[in-house]
Amino acid sequence: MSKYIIKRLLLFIPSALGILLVVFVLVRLVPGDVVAAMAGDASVSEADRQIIQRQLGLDRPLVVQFVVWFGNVLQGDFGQSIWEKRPVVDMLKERIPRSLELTAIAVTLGVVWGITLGVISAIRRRTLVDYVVRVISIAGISLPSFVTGILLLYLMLKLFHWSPPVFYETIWANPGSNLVHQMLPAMVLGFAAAAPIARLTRSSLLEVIGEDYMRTARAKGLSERVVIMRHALKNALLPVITLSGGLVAGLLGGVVIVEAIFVIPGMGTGLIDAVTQRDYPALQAYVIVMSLIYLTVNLLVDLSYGLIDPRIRYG
Amino acid sequence: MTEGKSDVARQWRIPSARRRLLARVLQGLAKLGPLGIGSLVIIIALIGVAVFSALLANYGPRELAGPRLAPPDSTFWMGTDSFGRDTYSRLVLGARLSLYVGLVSVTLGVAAGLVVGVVTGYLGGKLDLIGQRVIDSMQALPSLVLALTLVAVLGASVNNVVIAIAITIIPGSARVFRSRVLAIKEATYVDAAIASGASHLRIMVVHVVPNLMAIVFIVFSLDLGRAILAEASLSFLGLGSPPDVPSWGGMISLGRRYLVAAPWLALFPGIAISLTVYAFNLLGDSLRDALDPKLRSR
Repeated sequence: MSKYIIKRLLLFIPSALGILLVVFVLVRLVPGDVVAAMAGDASVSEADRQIIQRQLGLDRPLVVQFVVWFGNVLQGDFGQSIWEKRPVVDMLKERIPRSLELTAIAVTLGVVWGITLGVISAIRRRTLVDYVVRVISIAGISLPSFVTGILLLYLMLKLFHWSPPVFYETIWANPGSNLVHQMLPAMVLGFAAAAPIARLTRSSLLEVIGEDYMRTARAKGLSERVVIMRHALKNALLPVITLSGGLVAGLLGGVVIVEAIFVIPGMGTGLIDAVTQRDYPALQAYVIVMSLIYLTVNLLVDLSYGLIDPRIRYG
Repeated sequence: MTEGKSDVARQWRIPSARRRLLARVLQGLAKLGPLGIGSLVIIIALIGVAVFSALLANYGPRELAGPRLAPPDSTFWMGTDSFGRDTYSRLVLGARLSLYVGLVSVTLGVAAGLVVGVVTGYLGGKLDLIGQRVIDSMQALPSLVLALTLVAVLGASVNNVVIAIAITIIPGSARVFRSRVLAIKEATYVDAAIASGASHLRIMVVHVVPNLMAIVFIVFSLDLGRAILAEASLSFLGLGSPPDVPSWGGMISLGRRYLVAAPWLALFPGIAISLTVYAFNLLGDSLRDALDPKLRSR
């Protein structure tokens, strides 16, 4: 077990390195030069241009640039934001918690809704309830989050005259306003995540229900509730957990959309701003942080297998 | 029956080539099931709308046809937007962009994924190992984030959106193809080809790729839904194609500012994009069930 954990942790390193390399290469493909992007409309003399390039280290070979940049990133230094003229790390410190809160609520909602619907659907197989649940889950897979998001926004406007507050309040400053503000986009993302989870829970549970130990559990007089919850669900959940880890990538993409709709100043809106303002240091940082979150979640998912299913022996 | 048919053919009731083709098509459709056929009908209708969009549209995409924010009526079937442009005409013309971006980006992405998957899977060794790590790294970037970054780097234009979406499709499809190639590689007909002296290139092109075609179709259909969704998402964020090109995502983005005054602005393109993505997902699902039930666990 400990050998497996070490092996899995070591595998994290080349993946993280790969991401840094991909992001570095991507941003260096920029047509036109960074100095012009920094200067905006102001004209820059050739002498000034060379000075700025030397300051940014752009006159050095690419390999040297990568090593220097890589060293800085390892120390948590993502450089200066071209647009906001302050360290990118400060922007990250502000924005990451907001997006993490949103993602955490969304994952919780998605898993709870998904598993509940999946279990109901499997127990009541081939009944009206089953079909309704399946229709809902197909809708959840196909409805884009900007469509469901806008639909929810519309309903909130019509029914409660609620619109996203202009100023974001942290959960420490004003928990009520913060939770309402975060809950709606989280529901949109949670709905999208619940659909595939419900489908997989249903099929996985149906497979398990045919097993011998289910008959044994019933034969020894356990209530149906205990049989399903303790014997069936526990065995059916492994693929569901694997899927949930993979869903985080889609969720992080969805964060960009719902943050834009519900005006949450998190990493998603930060990423959009960085793209429109051509703020490459900030752009790099957001992409790297999002990918590292994805990698970390999947690392945790892999490590959790042994806890959930003791039969798994790590080779 | 046809005159060219021999007595033997008539005696043994061997159907003509045309009948056999018809029978195969009907069998194929039957295998798709009602949902698959339904989605196919929607997709064919959508392609029809895109192809004949110039005829179907009542007004030009940038034409200021009527009053601003007019509700749907007999002249403006789906109302007008904040500039007075006809929503119906823009919706019909927007179908063209969605399908164009979807088809071209998925064709490019799946073709590149096929090359990467077949070459790394078949040749194996160090190439495969490096390829796997690169694919891992690319898959760790959420595809919308990757597409956004690429558009930021390449600049916003229709063709750059196509390239960006195509690149996001490569890792996933390459992975699916590679895993299947690993199985095909062990088949006896590949051994037979090696024994008869065929080159690796010939084996890949003549023996491996044709056996992947069923999966290629499935991946193609499922990725089409994703690609159309990605294009709409980029346009919705205002980072896709230029604002004067009518796109569903852009229309929803505009409609979002007039949700109370003119809900139809976001409603109709919202329905269009949802229905399209739904149809492609459903078709992909039905194709998978009909052609390759083993893939279901993906």
